[in-house]
Amino acid sequence: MYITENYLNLKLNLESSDNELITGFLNGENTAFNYIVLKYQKRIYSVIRKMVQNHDDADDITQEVFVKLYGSLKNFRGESALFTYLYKIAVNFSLNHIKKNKINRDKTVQVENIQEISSHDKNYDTVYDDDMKSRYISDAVAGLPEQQKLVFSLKFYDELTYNEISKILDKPIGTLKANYFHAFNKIREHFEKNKIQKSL
Amino acid sequence: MKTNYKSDDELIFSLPDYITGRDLEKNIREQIEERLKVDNLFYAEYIKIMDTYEYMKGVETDKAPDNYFSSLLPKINERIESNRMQKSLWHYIIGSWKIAVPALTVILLIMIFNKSDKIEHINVVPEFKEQALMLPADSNGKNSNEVINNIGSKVSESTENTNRETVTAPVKQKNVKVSNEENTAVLNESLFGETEEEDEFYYEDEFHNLNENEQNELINNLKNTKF
Repeated sequence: MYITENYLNLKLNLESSDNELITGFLNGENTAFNYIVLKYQKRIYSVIRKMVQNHDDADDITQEVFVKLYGSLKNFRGESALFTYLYKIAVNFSLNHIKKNKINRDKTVQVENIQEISSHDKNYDTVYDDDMKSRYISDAVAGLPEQQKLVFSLKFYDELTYNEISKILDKPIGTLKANYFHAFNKIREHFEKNKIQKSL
Repeated sequence: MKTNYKSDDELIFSLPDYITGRDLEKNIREQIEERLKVDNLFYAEYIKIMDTYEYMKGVETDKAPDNYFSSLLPKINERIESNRMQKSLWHYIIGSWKIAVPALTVILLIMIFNKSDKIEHINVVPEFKEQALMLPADSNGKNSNEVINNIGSKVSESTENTNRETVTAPVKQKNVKVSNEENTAVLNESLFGETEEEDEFYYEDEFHNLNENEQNELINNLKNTKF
C-alpha cells in the first residue's frame, strides 16, 4: 500500500511524513530508515529511559527497538501510526527488560533521597536548581508502579493523547486517566515525604 | 484521604488534564469548573495537583549524554548488519545440516552394526566353560572324562584370559576345539599322528620292526637310563 507510482519523485528528508519514509524503505531507499531513526530516536530513548532509569540499558533497548523495526517494517501494514507501532515495541522491550532484571527501584530511590535531603536539610529552599530538581523528579517518577510510570511518561512528557496511549498499551481510556491521576498523587506524596516541594 | 468523589471519578481523574489544558472534552471542563466553585475538597485536590504540575513543568529529566544521539544511528546500522551476518551464518548452518544429518545417520548405523558383530563373537567363547567334556573310559579303566574335565577347566581358565585375544585373532583357538554335538575334546595336536594314542601305536610298530638283538639292546639301554 505504500508503494506509490511516483515514488521516484519523492525527496526524502527529516520533514518527510511517516508514509513517505516507509514507502521509501519498501522501495529499497536505505536513507529512509535512517530518517525514521533520526525522527524518533529522542522520543523513543526518552520513554525507555524513564522506564529503565539507566542510560546504558536505555541505549541498548533503544537500539534493539530500531533493529526490530528494521526487521518488521517490510511487513508493516499501516494499521496503526508508525510512532504508535514504535512506542509499542519500546514499551514491550522496556517491560521485558524490567521483568528480566527484576529492577526494584523503589527501595534504592528512597534511600538515596533520604541521604541527599539530609545533607541539604538546613537550606532545602535553595535546592531548587534545575539539576537537583531534575534528579528529584526523576526519582519520584522512577518510584511509580510500572503502569503508572508508563502512562505518566507518555502523557506528561510525550504529550500523547489517551487514544494514542490506549493503542500503545491496549488499555481502556478510563483506566489510563485513573493511572495518570494516581501517578500525580504518588509523585506529590514522594515530594512531601522527602520535603522537596516547599509549598506542599 | 476519603472524599465524596466516588460518583465523580471521571471529574477527579480529569483534573491533571484540566490543569495541563490538554486532551479534555469541553463538557468535562465545564463540570470541573462548576465543581471547583462549590466543593472545597475537590478544590484542595486541584491545588495539590496544580502545585505538583507547576513544580515539574519544564524540567527536563533523564537527559541523554552529550552527542549521544549523533552516535546512535551508526550503532543501530552496525547492529542491523551484525544481525544480518548472524542470520546468514545460521541459514548456512541449517543448510549444511540437510547433508550432515543423513551422513551422520549412515555412519552411526555402520558403527552400531559393527559393534553388534563383535558382541556376538564375545558371547560365543565363554560357552566353552559350561561344556562337559565327555570321553570314553581309557584302557587303564580310568574315567577319561575326569582327566579331560580337569584339563578342560585349566584350558578354560587360560581361555578366559585370552578371550580378548580370541576376539581379535580367533585362529589362535585352533588348539582347543569343542564339538557340542559329539561331546568330545581333541587336545594338543601331535607332531606325528593325529593324537597321542596314535603316537603310541606308531612307536609300537617301530619296535616290532626291529630284530631280536636290536630289541634287547634297546631294552637294556632304556633300563640303564632309568627312564
